[in-house]
Amino acid sequence: MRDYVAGGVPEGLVPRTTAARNVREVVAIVPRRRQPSIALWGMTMFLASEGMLLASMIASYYYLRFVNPAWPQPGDPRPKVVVPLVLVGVLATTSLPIQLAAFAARAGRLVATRLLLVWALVVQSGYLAYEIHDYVAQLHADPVQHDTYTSIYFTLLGADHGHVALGILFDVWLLGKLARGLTMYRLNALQAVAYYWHAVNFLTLVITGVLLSATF
Amino acid sequence: MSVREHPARQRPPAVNPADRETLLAPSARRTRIGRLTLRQLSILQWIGTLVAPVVWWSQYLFGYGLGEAVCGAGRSWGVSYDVYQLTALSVAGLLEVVSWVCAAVVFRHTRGADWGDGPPVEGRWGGEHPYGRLHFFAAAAMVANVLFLTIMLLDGTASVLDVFCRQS
Repeated sequence: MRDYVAGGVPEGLVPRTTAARNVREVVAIVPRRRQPSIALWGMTMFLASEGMLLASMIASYYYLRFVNPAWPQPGDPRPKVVVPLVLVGVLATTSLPIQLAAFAARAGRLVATRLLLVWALVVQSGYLAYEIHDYVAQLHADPVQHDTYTSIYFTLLGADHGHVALGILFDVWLLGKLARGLTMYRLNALQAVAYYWHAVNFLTLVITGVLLSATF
Repeated sequence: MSVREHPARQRPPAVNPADRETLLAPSARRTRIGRLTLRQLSILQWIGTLVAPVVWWSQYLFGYGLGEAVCGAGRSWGVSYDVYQLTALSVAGLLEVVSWVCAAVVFRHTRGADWGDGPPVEGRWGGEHPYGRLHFFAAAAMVANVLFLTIMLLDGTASVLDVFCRQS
């Protein structure tokens, strides 16, 4: 079999992006990468699908809002404003440690990567714990089947919480993988998960804004 | 650039017959996979991936707008609802099939590729070219386009067969 060149360098001298199985190899290969990983493309497709799903829910919300004379409907409590805004602000800050973790992994700083991921995980878990507690309390006060407002309200909020919960599972899985060192696979996964969190944080901001629009 | 024998342990897997590709040309414009260049395959891949959802969305919006035009209170635009719906469905369906064929062509040409970041020693050109990406998107588009076509057929035929201009 003949050799070939890749990027002007004989292929035999080019370290394979997929062959990096420790920090030193990852750091050597990262600057040579010219393409986003397939993991990132896969995450892009997944987020596009999820974005479409949530966009259709938001469209349903406004459709129901504009065909109902009162919104929230009579008997439904108005959504709280301050606490959700503070919480979503806190959640949005986790984009910073997640992105820094991705940068640290690219630079081969594994300990920093783990610590930044733990930082994000703690904040995200705290957010989700409070939100689930609040969600259950709201469900008891005003059941989901009460009217169209509560049905779309809890559907949107629940979908958002589900995405946060999935992100937390990603974090835990990643930390478990990174506990055994850094490989190119794990760097790909970290970058994809960071991308996921940026999207989820953005979607949470949007959904919170949609739900709070009922107060105006 | 010298051409030399490659150590066996570093050999890329034989994903296509070796004589069907230009081994010494990493340029996307010049690198051929079968009868198509990487650049052409890349264009086909994006057509296969993006055309179907855009067409579906356009058909949906068009159908919604048509329904509003025909059924809106106090309006009479003289629009033949069924004819326009079926025309939109036919055009969208045709574009959808073209999109699927593009994806299938890319899938066939890149058959045997790993996902670009597969296990060590896999990946054509060491992952330097979007070979894995082409195959990945082509596979995804082939599946998704069937779903989009199904949605469009259900949407289009139901719009014609069902009773419309009815209060929801």
